[in-house]
Amino acid sequence: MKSIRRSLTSWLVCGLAVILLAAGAGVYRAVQISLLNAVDAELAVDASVVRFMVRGDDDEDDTPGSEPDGRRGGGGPGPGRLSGRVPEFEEPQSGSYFQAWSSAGQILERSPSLGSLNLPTPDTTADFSNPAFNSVNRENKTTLRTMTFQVSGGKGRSRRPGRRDAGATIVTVAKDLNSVDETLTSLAGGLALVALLATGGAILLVTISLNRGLKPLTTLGNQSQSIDVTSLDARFHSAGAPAELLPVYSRLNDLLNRIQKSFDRERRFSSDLAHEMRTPLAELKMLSELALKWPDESGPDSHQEALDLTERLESMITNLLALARWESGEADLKNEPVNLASLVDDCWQRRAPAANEKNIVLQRDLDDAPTWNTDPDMLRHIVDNLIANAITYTPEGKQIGIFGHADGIEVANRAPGLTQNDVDQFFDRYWRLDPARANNSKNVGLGLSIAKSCAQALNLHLSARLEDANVRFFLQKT
Amino acid sequence: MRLLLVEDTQGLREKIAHALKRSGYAVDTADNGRDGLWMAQNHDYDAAILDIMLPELDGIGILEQLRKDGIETAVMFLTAKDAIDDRVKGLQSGADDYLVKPFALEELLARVQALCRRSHGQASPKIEIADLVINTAAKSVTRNGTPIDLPAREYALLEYLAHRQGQVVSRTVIEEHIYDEFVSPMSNVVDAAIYTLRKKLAVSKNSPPLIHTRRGQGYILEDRSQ
Repeated sequence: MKSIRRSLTSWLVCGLAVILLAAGAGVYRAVQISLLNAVDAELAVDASVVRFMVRGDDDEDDTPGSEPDGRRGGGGPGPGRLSGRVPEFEEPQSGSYFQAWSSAGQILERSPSLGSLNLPTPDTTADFSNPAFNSVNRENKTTLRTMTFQVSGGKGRSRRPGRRDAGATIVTVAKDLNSVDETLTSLAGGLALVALLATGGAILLVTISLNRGLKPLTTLGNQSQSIDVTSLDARFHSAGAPAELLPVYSRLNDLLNRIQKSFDRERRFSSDLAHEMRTPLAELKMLSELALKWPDESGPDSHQEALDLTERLESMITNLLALARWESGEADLKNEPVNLASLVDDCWQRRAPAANEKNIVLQRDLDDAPTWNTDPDMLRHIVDNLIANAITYTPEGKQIGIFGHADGIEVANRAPGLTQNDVDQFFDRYWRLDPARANNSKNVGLGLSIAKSCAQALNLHLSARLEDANVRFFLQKT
Repeated sequence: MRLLLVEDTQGLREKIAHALKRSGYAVDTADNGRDGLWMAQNHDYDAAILDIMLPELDGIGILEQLRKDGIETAVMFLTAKDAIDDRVKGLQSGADDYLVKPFALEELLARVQALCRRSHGQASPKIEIADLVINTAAKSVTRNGTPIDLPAREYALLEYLAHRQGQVVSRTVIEEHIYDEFVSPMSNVVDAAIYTLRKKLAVSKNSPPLIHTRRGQGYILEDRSQ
């Protein structure tokens, strides 16, 4: 499972380790370079001494009687003489060495401090007018820093024909890098220790700061655990939450709002359904019990009443089933031409007695009503519901208007006291103007909700608008 | 016993009222919460049966207002809501009983009877005055072991007096609690009923009279033989 804590810790620690490694390497390299530079500077001093000595030897060689060959033969000016002047080249463990070669590669001189050691022979044919620095690993593991340069015969020498001027004397001065190596080794150790400590500290710091930083998330998690179906009115408390989480809090609370609303609606739906079904059922039961208890009182009236109640329950169940079936898309739809004007007239004809009872006047203008290719039964259901709804809610003696438009029909009626909020809820299941239901009505409040579902199934658009205490329903082709 | 029934579904209201009347209760009805509250505030009912979902003012609203006004009429809720939450809410708001639709008529009658009994401080369904025994559950009356057959209205009158035994009950109160429509002041319907009742309670020559007249005040049911 992914863990913010784990991935952040590993990223931070790994990143820090890489940075420390790079920084350590940089420091190590810088110190190494500066130490080598220091050694090189010392070598340059040694070199100038040796150069001076070699030159000096040459000068001495110039003394009468001295042969150039004499030097090669080991007689005349010798290493002993040369190094004898500089004690650091004398002692075997001094760490300072030099060796000189002729351009032919013959060893001319070597410092006594070298003992049995030989410095690596440079390429004597190369040009060493610019000194070359090198690090040489010796077998006994101490490293040498060498500086190879050439001591030319010099201007004076070249002026002397017949002297060895075919090439310059190649000289290598060298120094042991023991102390440098030791310094670098302890530096590396120190750096490693620092890196190790820093990494350890970083793990600790990261863990602590993550714990602190993630605390709001833990709080959020705990809060969310306490919310379930029974406590949907609870909200996340963003007090003390960091700014980054505030949008999350507000989204979560919005989500809870929506869930609570839909839950409330469902609850209201089932409680309304219970009321709608139980009330006629209670009436029916009461009717039967009265007839049993006082048989002398039951007559055709009570039988008719029982029949009415049963029909009411039946239509309620039919509506519910139709709604469920249409919403789940189970019903097969027909596709036939339906003339809206004649459909409206037919529906009105069936509802006319109820309208007459309330002295409702129909204002009909269906000349523009179109003919649609659609499912006639479902369309009839929609239109019938709209008309039944209009008759139920139109005050006595008022008008209902049914108008045909090019894109559909409009059913309008007076609706005093209706608010926009009511209109917004028109298509909710079981919504009714009066929450306690109108008496003796076969209309169950499911009507508009079903009509809306049916319209959707037929790709029609059913909407309602409130204008000057008139409510206008529009059924249009989308 | 006078009952108030507030139920918005006309058919159900008429049927319940009819059943209650046939069982000997005087019943007033209202079809909305506001009228129901007004009636409960202005008349002395032995019990009220309220639907919870009512137009204008719901049953719980009526009950709360009554309790606020210090009216302690026993109240039974009648409702289609059967969730435990709804029942608890109903009872917590101060209702004495709760009946879920659809209900059995006999259960409604039994509960209404228990409600009336309790509202008169009578826990047991049996009331005994001297050798007169009234079983309010069975609505049966015996005197000295002899069963007395009484029509619903007369039984209701006897039970009402028995609930208030030893107290003077005025004609108006009897009219209010026993008779459905308010009888005219000139009517002697109460006197006539008392006369019939007295005759029926005199099962033998040795039976002492139990219903006494206090002139100008009303009637009193008590045992004066000791």
